[in-house]
Amino acid sequence: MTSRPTDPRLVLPGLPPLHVPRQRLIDALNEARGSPLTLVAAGPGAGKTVLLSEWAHSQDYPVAWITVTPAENEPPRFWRLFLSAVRAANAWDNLPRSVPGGDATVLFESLFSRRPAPRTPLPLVIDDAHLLSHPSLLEGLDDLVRSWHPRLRLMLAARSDPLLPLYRYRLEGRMRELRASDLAMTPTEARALLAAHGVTLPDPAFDVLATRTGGWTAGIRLSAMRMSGTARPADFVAEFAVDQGSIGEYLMNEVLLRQPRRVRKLLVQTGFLDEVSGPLADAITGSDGSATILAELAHANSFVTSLDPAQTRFRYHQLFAEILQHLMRQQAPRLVPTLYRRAARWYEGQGDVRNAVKWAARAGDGSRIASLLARGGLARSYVQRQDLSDAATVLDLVDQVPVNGDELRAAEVRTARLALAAITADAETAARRLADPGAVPADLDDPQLRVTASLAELVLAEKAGDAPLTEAAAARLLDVEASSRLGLVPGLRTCILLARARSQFWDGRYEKVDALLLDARQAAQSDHSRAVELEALGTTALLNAYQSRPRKADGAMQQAAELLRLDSELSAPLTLELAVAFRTFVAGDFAVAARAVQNARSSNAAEWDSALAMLLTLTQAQLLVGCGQYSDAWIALSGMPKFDRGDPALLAIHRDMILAAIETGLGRPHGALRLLRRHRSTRFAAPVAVACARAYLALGDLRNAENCVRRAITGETVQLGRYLLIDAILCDAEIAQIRDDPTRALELLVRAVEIADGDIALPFVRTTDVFATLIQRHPTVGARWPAAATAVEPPAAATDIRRFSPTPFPEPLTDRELAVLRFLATSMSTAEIADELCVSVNTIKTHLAAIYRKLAARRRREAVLRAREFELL
Amino acid sequence: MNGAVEGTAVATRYEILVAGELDKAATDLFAGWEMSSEGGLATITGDFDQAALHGVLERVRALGLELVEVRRVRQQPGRLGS
Repeated sequence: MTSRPTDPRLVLPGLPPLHVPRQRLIDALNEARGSPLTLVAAGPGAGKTVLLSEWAHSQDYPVAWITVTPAENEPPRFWRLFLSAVRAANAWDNLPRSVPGGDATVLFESLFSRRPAPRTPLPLVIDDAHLLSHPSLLEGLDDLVRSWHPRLRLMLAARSDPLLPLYRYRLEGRMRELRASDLAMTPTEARALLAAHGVTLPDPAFDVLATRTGGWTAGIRLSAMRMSGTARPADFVAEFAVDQGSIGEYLMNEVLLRQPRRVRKLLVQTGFLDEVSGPLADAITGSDGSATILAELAHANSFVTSLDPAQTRFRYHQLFAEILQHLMRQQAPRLVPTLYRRAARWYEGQGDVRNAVKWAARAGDGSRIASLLARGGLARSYVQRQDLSDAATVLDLVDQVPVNGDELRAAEVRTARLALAAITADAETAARRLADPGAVPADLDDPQLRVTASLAELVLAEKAGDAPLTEAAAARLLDVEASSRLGLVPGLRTCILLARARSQFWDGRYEKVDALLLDARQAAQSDHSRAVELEALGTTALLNAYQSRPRKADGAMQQAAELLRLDSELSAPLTLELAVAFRTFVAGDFAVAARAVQNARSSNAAEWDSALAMLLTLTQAQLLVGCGQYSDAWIALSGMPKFDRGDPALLAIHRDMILAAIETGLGRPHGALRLLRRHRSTRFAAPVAVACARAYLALGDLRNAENCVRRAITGETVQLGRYLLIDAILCDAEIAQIRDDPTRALELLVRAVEIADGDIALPFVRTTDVFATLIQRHPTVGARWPAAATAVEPPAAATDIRRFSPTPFPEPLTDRELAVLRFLATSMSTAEIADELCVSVNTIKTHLAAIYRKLAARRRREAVLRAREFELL
Repeated sequence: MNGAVEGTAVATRYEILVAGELDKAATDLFAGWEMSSEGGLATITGDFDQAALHGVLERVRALGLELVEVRRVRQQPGRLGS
């Protein structure tokens, strides 16, 4: 439930201690600003990561960072990580929520053709890019380089030349490179590094060192570490010069040998981990005191870096880690799987299902994974919303677990496979899985397994957005708990109750929701889990804010804020951010609302619950509509997930109401009415009537507008909520004003203000102009007229305010048209473009005609200008 | 991990020999370097630093070609040869 990226692959590495700044290289990287691709290609230990990290820290703008591991060499995983990294940099609004089909082309299309640009230049660093060899992945990167967006700059660090067409990039001037010879330390830099370690060498010895290392950064650093504190450093240089073998191994050994035995043991035995901490190292080595050792190492050298300011989590430099693993395999190869298993067990004890599964997988321990998942693992990751997206790779291991007629083991494996299916499903596959009658094993005796199976069903139902099935699965779960007196994983009961509350709410059945929320909060308190309590408060706040009960929402939000203050480890769950977004939006505080939506987008809780994902998109769109950004709102809605079994009722209405508002806002009230017609005889008739009233008003059809207002106000006010009620009354007031009845209009305004009672500002903010004269003439009303807490500005940062174009948004261009459009910006002739795209000149001319029409341009140059205005290019 | 037998941070001339002929996909990947073939062996020649050299070997691997030999070439004015 974090909204901060703690994924180590996305963390911008800190600078090592005793770091010597390398200004000439920083300058080179800055000069390369105009190139789509900057490549830093040099062997391990050349200082690539440190250089890019130093550079990133020196930039005024955020830099996105990805450290690739071999697992990322797979397009869907990589592009998901790419999107997460870009999102984490927080420089680009309105990012798509996910990468449909794991397809780069679709992702780029979405990023570059239909969205505004990032607010600031956004460099994206990919460290260890040499690990990327998947052809489709490479195609995607090539695409990025060639269809270069001026704000997005790709910077690759690699040990060997990536499998990209570098030669062509060089010829076309698309690439700037820094290679080993550039990164090699100059004598000045080398002397500075030695000095930082307190080492001075006489010139002859220095020259020998420089020659022997060839300026290799790691070599010089290791030598410095080796010589630091010794009385006669030149002696070391003499020995070093004579040694015949690989200097990396030699130096590393030298440095390691100088360490006390327990430090060596710690390093060698934990070298395989991506991330180390004191307690984890203790568990693996069977000793204690690792935390101190690690902190000291991080302080003293650059091969152990800390990942957090509190210095509790560390990472080994890749070169170092490789040598450590090499040494481990040399010294005690049979111990290796045992070490993995110890790591898995430690993570299991921490409730970190993701890492426990990962290391059990490395140890090849399928049966451990099965029992982990089947007995509480799924529950833990559900309660904590852990990101288990790499779980798919484990399926094979679980499948291969030998069962040998052991019924219990077999049941465990079946349950584990169901759990994996639930974890890895998306909305579509979840719906399909549920439709399959044999999907859920029915005959499980073991209550723990029954819980996992029912929970898996619940997860699938939530992902599929299926309210009745969610209910059924939740009921079954609570049943098992009651009948077997099995204590559920802490927090699970709360989460089940919350799931029920949400699914009933989205279905528009409000009656039991309040009671469920109360139960949930009580359950959370008795579970003593703050994180879960926070989730319960978040959901309470959200459902109340949505129903336009701002006081109740505020109450829950305040309690949540208290909890967050008490415990700095906690971060706001998705539901809470959405609640904040809604509440502050309605109160007219757009900046805070926009920020909350941004935070919400970086949470991965939306992966688990499709209805929440839909709500997130709707909130985004609502915010944009509130600021009058109709075209952007329409774009935002296009990113919404679709449900196989039809959208949850309430959200479908919400979506249609936003669409109607967009249509009305763009000057197409008939379109709005068409959209709303089908809902007029449902139980949501009252809220829909308000939107209809506005549309009729825009059409000048006062009679129908009035009828709609009547219907809204005299209908079920429970459904209407205060917000919509105020909206309806203001609509009525507008009608009265047009009918030249200022007395009645004023009465209505006063009534609206009274109902708002300081909690709700938005409807007033949006109609201030309409009633300007009335408000001026009656200062008592004017005094109570709510104003926006922040200026009504687009949610983007102040540095890049988009001018709202008075012309309507163009009809979207097709893929082919966009392709042609990109070429229009070059100096190629029609014939040359036809050639390039392998079609006839006539086809190009047809596309051009469509392009000119859609962009309302008469000539090529005009089309390019308009395309740039709409940021299609 | 040997970053400095002298001169390998600097570009050095190498010949990489692979079995068979280089088809279009291969010539695309090796664009920019000299390619020749003789007696069932194809040779890719160029000036490489370590990172570039490993890049070439990765390309050989990615193409599924059989790597026969990697030779360092002594620089001689105007001619390749060892």
